[in-house]
Amino acid sequence: MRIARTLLAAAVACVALAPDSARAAGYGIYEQSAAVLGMAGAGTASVHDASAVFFNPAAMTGLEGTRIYGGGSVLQPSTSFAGVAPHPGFGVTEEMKSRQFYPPTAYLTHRYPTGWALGLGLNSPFGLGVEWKNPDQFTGRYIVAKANLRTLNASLAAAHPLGHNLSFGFGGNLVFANVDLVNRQFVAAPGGGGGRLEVANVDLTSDWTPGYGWNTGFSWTPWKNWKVGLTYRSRVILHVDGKVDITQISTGNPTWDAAVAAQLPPDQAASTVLRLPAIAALGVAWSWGGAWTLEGNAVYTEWSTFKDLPIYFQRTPSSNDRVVEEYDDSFQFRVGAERRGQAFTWRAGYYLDQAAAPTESVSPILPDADRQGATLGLGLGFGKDKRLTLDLYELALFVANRKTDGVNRDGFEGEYKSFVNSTGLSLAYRW
Amino acid sequence: MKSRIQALLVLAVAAMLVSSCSKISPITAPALRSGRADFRVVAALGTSLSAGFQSAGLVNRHQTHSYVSLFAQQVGAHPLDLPLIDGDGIPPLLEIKRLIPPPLLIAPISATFGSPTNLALPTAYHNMGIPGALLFDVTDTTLYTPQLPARNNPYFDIVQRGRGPLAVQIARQLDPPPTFLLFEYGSSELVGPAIKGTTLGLTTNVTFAAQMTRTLDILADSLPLTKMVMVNVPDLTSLPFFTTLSNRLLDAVGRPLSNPNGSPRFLLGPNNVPMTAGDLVLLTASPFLAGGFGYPLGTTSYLSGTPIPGNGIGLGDSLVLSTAEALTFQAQVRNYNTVIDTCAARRDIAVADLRGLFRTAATTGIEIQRVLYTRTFVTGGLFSLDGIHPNDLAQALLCNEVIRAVNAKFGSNITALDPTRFATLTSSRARGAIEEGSLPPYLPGGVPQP
Repeated sequence: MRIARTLLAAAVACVALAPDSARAAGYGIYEQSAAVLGMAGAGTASVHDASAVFFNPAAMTGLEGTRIYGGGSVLQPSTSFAGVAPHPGFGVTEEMKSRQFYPPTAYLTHRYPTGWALGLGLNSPFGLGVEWKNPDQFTGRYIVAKANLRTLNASLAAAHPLGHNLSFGFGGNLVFANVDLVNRQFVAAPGGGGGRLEVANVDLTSDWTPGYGWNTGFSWTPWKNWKVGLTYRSRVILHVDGKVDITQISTGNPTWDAAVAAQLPPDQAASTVLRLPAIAALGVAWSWGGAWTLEGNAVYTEWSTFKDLPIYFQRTPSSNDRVVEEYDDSFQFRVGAERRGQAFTWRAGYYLDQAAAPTESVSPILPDADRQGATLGLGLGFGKDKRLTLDLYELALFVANRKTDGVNRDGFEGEYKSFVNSTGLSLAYRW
Repeated sequence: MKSRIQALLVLAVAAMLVSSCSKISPITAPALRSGRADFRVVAALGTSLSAGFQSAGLVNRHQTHSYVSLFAQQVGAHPLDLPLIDGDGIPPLLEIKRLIPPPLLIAPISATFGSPTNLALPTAYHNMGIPGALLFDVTDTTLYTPQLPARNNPYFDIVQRGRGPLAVQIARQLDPPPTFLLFEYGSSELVGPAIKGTTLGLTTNVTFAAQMTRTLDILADSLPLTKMVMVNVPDLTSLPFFTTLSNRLLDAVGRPLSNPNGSPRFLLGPNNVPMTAGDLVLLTASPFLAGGFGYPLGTTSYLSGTPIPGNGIGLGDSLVLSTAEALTFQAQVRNYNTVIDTCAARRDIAVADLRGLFRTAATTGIEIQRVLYTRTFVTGGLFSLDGIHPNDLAQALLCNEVIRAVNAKFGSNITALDPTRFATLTSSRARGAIEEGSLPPYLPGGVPQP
């Protein structure tokens, strides 16, 4: 159990911050298990390690004894942007800062002789990390210069067989979230020519705020070698409190600076509402010859719950803002294969992830797009009965270029190009 | 063990292969597709709006930023010959003398008139926009200045130059002749009487329709292959000239006063009769209000920045547009635009919706890159200091409306302008942006200054 405490502490210490384009559509993160990611995340039916707490809690009834699992991913995104008319104009290119992100995962399961199984999980199912280069010149800085959404989800799940071929699992989720949004504020120059003055840096930083949700799952073995998994994770609504720091930027004209200072809201408490969507997944797995498993998953995400991002100023309600998003529900289709050998286990997979953002909402905050992921995975067993396992995966996420088609809500028109490389590993032990 | 190492190497190589990805290449503007139109030579017939008239004057810095000039640049047309005026303009443009602290003071830049710099041009100008021009003037010289000094319009001498009717100049005195025509009339017919607070002299919609038909027929005969876009007429009663000054008594901080029973306290209007809620006080009433006119005895006007006792004399009729007069103008705007739409539909002419643009400015405002622009006088950022004419930014917005209409009608693919490129820090750019104090206008990175 000392190992478990160490892993949990490490996970808390490096709370996930996922790059915008590393996520599943929107700001979801599916990188929750190296073994399952080796199969492109197709694990709802066949998951066979402690990450069942996330992928399907009902599957915990198939995990003998006590199992502990810890791991993480290294996500390396690259996103660039090319502008078109009218703003920022043809020939303009922008690039996000090169960053790496380390979403952690930790799980613990135990099956009792009564058939009941309990599980604990710690992961980061949602996240966003955006930071554009040259924030003082970035042409979209009136929308965003930097945006971070961090989540830390603690799960407690239980599962019990409902007969010899059906299991049921359920659990609760305690989600902590934190946001940080930075942009620049412009105003029309008071002289009436319509010229814009860059007058302030606005930084909204929230406290870590809890939200609550639940999840459930079924695992069914209708025939020999076949498994079906069905899961549902509820939406989580978080009312996040924080503060907004507004730092005036001098225009160089003392008279106008004084006028601007009189109009800028003061630093103050602020709040927002974060909506983490519900997710439902259906998986079918087929095992063949004792060495092969093939699985296909359909994952539905209720992104339509992400309608907007309101920002409420406590002292100056007239400054309240609302970033309209109006996302659409989306689907992912994941297929994966696993071949278990004597020396190691090979995995491979492919998934198609449908963009959730309508074209109007494709922005430098979140340039959402359709994406296709190809994965390779490797599992190695060590020690007596291979009780210790090391799983690794490599994901190449090919994000379709996304154009704004002249309809972006903030008038920032162009085309985004993204790519993500993700590598992860996990260590698991059972006894 | 060897096979495990090999497997790890395979995974590592796969990771390296996919970890590099080039960034996006800059996008170049698509080649202009003109569709059914031909933009090689752009010309314009119109009023002050087309001429680039702003802040009560005409000057080169704004003439070159009229929607006509911007459109011609955007389609890569033949360079426009313009009736440019140098210096402080004709007449010298208004400028803000004091903005902060209040009261706002606006006055001409100087007493020195600018001079036309292109009078000797041997051909007609491509932009024949003439401040104050009526639709009637396009084909008929009867009301040009030499024949009617009372009209007191110096711009015919500068633009028309005694070279014959405007339509004839556009059709016969440009070399090469125009292949695309911008046409904007109707505003002067309305603004002329309205700024005098009267409906007298208002051109009826029947007359306007007849003139429009005749004018378009003549142009179609003389320029049969030239495609055209018309600009419709805005609701002038929504312009800052008519909406800035309150028709109510104001206290020292500008809040409207009410009677003890809660009913509003209105200014005194013509014949010392209290105004009503729908009456509009013209911007030209400002110095009178500051002097205590319109304020009943025993009340105080604070408009000048110092308390001035009300003199009990109502505002003159020429300073007020009554509710009935305002409704008449609004109805006439609808009538004129019906004429424009009808004539355009019959002749394969595109219509740019200036009325809609100004209506948006007057209602929700126009948000551009998260900055909200409104019709508010001076600080709204869309209208020049005369309260009627759009500034350079709004001219660019109008150009985009024209582009939208032309693309929709003729199947072209003209790209829209970034209007913020044409915004300036102060409304009147009479002395040039470079001399506007030490502040350059904000320009997004990577975008060349126009």
